[in-house]
Amino acid sequence: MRNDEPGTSESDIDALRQRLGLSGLDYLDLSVRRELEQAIARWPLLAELAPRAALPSGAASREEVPA
Amino acid sequence: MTSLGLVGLRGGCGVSSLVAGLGQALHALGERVLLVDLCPENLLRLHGNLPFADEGGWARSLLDQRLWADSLWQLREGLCLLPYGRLAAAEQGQLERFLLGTPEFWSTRRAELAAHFDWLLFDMPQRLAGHAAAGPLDLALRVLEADAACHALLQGWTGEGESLLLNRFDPTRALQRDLRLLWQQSLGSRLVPQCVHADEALAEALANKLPVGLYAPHSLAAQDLNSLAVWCLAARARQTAAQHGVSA
Repeated sequence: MRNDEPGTSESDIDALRQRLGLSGLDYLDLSVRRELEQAIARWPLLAELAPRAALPSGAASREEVPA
Repeated sequence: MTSLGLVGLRGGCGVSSLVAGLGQALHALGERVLLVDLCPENLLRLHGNLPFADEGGWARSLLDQRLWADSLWQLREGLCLLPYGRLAAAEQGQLERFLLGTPEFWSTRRAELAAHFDWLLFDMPQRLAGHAAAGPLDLALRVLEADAACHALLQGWTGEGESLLLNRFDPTRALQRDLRLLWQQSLGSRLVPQCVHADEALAEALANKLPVGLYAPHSLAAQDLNSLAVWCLAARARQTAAQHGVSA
């Protein structure tokens, strides 16, 4: 299922951004962002390969824990 | 004529099944389709119900200095298949060297085919650069699965002009859901919105020597491929509009 299909929350938000002339605004749904952070935190390889800015705090500290 | 190439991000991503299934789905939409096997494994022909014992194919014909078009099979009106043919390992190496030195090989043949087909679908090998040199593609799909190996291989991947197609997606698996979410966010429109779900019907289709759309037309994978075929038609329309300077 595409999340930009008509009737989905993301397509509604896209329409609103266009209407308000905010098309350049970098927007990421907070719930999606939370899901993404949890997904990255679940798997060490994903955390290792994630861009630093996308890392949740728990995943970032993983390498600092002594073995 | 639109040229579409499918190749795996790694081996074993199910590219041949997708080529056969997508070709059949495009044909069901009224398009004239030729499937071309560029892989020495020579498996695409089995999806078209060709006899396993048949050794013919474009590569075999080329080495035997026979006409390559003699190995073209018509599966149905408007749906044809060009197998690779059976080659010994040394012959495959010999052909790879020839193709590396003859990059225009497929361009000239494609010009001959343009009047007869709307779509040319290439089943492309992942590693043999000469074999994979099908000429410029209108659509290039890099097939991947939602697993850790593909995620690792995506790091540093640029794939100029390619779109990524997720195959064998199983939404009941946590890792697959997580990777798809991550790729949707990080790859954006480069990830084809339509994935192909994991479906035993795809494996059974090959065992029945048929594309999945004929073997199990109501299966999830067949429905996915129908949607993917519509996406391909839309992509072609966008390209045509862009070439003619019309805003899509």
